[in-house]
Amino acid sequence: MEALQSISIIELDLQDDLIVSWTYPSISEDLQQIIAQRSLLKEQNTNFQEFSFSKFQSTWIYIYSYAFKKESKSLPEIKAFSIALLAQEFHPEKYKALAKLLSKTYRRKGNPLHILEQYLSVFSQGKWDNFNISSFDRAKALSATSINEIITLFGEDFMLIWCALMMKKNIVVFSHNLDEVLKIIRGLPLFVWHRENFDILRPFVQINNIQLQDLQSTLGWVAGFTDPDIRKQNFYDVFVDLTTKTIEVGERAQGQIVLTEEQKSLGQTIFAAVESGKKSDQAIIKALTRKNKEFISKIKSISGENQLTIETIQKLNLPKPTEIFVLSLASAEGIL
Amino acid sequence: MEQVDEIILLSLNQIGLEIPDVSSITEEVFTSDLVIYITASCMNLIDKSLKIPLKFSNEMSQRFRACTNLSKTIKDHGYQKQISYSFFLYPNVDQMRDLFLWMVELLPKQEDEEVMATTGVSILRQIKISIFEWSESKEKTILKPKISTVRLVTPLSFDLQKNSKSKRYCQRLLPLISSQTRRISLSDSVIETNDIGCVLKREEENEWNNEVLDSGLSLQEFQLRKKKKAMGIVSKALQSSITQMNQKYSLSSFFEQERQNNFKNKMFQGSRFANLAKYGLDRKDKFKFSENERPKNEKENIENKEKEKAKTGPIIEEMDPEKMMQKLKEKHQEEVSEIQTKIKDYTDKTAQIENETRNYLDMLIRFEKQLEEMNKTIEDLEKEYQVRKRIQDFLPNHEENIQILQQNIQSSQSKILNLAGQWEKHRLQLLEKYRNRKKLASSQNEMWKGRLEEIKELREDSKTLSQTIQQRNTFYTQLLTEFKKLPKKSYRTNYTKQIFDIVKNVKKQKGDIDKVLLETHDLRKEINRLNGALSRSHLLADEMIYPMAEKDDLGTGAKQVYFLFDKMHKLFETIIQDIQQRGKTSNEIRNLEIEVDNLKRKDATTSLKKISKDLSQMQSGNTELQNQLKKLKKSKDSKK
Repeated sequence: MEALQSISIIELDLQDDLIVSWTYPSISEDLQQIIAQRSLLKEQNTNFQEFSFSKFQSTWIYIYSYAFKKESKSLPEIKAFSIALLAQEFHPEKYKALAKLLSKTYRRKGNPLHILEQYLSVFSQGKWDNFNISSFDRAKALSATSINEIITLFGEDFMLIWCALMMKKNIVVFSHNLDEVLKIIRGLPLFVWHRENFDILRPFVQINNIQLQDLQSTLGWVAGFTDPDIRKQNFYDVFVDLTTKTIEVGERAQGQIVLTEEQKSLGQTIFAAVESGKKSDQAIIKALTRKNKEFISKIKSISGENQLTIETIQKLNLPKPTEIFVLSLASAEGIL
Repeated sequence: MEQVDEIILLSLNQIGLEIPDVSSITEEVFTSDLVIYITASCMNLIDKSLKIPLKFSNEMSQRFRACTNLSKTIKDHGYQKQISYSFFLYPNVDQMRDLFLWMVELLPKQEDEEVMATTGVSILRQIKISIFEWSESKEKTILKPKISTVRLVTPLSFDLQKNSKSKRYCQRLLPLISSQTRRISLSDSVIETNDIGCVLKREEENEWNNEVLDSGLSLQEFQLRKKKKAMGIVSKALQSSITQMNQKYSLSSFFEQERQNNFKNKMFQGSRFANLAKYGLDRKDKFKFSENERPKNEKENIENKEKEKAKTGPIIEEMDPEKMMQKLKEKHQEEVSEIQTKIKDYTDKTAQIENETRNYLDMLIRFEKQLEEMNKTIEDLEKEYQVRKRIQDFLPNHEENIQILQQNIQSSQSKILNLAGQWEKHRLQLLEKYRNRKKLASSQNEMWKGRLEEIKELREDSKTLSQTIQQRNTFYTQLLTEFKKLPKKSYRTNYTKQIFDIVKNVKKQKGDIDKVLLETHDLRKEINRLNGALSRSHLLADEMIYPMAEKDDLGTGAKQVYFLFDKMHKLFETIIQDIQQRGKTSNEIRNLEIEVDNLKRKDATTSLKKISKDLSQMQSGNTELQNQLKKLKKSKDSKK
């Protein structure tokens, strides 16, 4: 299991002190800080988060937490702890299962040595006891959230998400409930399935310097937030509010993310198909992908065999929103 | 009696009454007015609800009424001895003494201190209040003078002990405060500088008490933090004002403003055109657009139009002035709308360009990212290539090699586990240490907090204590000065000695009285015994003689004896009665003598004279009143 990078134990002791007590192999201090923050152990009394997945720089972070209901014999000093797995691939189910297994071992034995043993076994052989990585399918992980569900959630407005994704704009997904955010956010890359890129996801970001800096170092991200203060920030293009089920275009992208008539009618037909319940997720994804590819090939055909330039697009004298869309899509697809 | 008088006079002096400096109470000094004054002020002090005037009228009848009331109030307050209006009109020494003593005893004890304090403190307070009131009233009536102050620099503004340079400066160069300011504002400036110093000190003290102690930082750290905060606030204010300025003078708003200005100018100038045309003046001078701020082609445009107008000028001159005005107005409207649309175009264009540049910037960043990604993939591919190459090398003997690899893995795993086990021991120890320290720190923190609270309380206590000490000190100094002012002869020890002497005397006299009482008792006993013996012997004699007298028919003289005996007995009884009567009368004589003495002492003749004088005064007053009454009646009758 090459993708697996590191394992850490984060502990919250009786004095409410949170420390990353054990890691193998060692990780950077930034990462230590990030996993401690994202474990949400400090907030465990009010808002206990069992499992979360997130991304920092190019590393996926999977955190599984456990809170003791009464004093534990093996870990008497500790109120709650988290197992954090760092990996280079997106596969929440697989890492949740592994983290759960490790968490169980740690709370029974109270000794990281046993965890290390399991970790090494999984790392080198891909299995331990009942856990076997071959039983986890990557395709399933990618399509775990139903695209139909997202479309029905927002109605025809889902095309705004699609448009933003196609143009590689920055999208914020907000809800007070992290599980909800995580569920919806992993479905968004399905709208641009032709890219098959889940690295644009930043499923859980907190508002502090390190995390926001990391987020802004990339472009075209889709980030999940549970802190309502995110609305005050101005670096996003589209704001997806799960609490009110609305999609807003941010100040920055006013006049840029505007649906053309063609896009609107496409949205209506897709929404109607989803509403009718006759089309499966797969069919919808396929249809969208086909459409996406059509758009791209159209853009490619503009310049014929020559290299596409901005000037050639501008010479077409397209309506402003369409021109912006074409330019952004071309640059996003690397045609330009 | 003089000692009693001294005590009374001293106590009266202490409550702040104005009494002539004498050592004893005499009728010459203590006139009716003075007695009334003393009594009234004492009674006012004893019963705060009373408000007896300290001086009565000289009109006899009113005075009489007031004195009657005063004597009544004194009786109501429990004065047992006899007192009436006559005492206040014609005071005598004994009654004065009794009354004064009674009043001095009745003066509330704890009030003594207050009274003592009031003599000093209250006078000061009263002075302050009266000054304040005076200044208030002045402030209302007199216009306030203008106060102008200058911040004075004094050696106190420098830390002289640390900085020798500033010390030198203060010694050699610092101008006197009188030359730092104009003469008029000198006193104001001095007062202000002192005030600032006081306020600063107090603020520092407050800050130290409330914020520094709470924050748990050292003074220097706290000051640093405060400085940072202040700088932050200043920089924020600056930034916000800069952004406001930017917004105010940003491109779009500039255009907007410009457009409006132009419009106004045109309107204004439009009205002027008629005049210009009339007077045939050169319009170019009057056409002052803000030329520098306008795009070039627009300027040219305007110039062209001006030229055109200059050409049409003479024609307009010939036309009807109203029509001309109309035409000019229309032309200008056209011009204005043309320029407006142009400006709008320009703003739109700039916005578009801004948008485009933003888009291009975005794209640029994206391209850079792509480049980076490509480089990364190249690196990855190179790595993969290396691995594949190794695998290729291993392939010929793959089974063996796999086994070797697995063995390697196993051994490195066990090595890692071993190392981890060793590390675990240290880690656990360190973790435990860390947690213990943390616990200790938190408990210590709580302890410090408790200590801090204690310190705060102590500081409060010390503050209040120092305040009370100060109060006591001032009180003490007041008392001391008052004590120094007091007449030296009336020392307490002296009094107590005298009291002890008096008590001794009283004891001696009591012993004498007891002796006399015993003697009289003995005498009474003796008298009783003698009486008994007498009656018994009388009975015996009677019994002996009476039968003999009964039997004496022969006239032996027994009968005569009996008669004589009886007569003798009666005579003796009268003698006894006489003696008793004599004792009583001698007692009476003595009482009368004492009374005579008393009366002599009262000096009846002088008081009689006074009384007769007052009586005549009253009588004359009465006749006057009667006359007035009569007059009134007469006037009434005549009216009828």
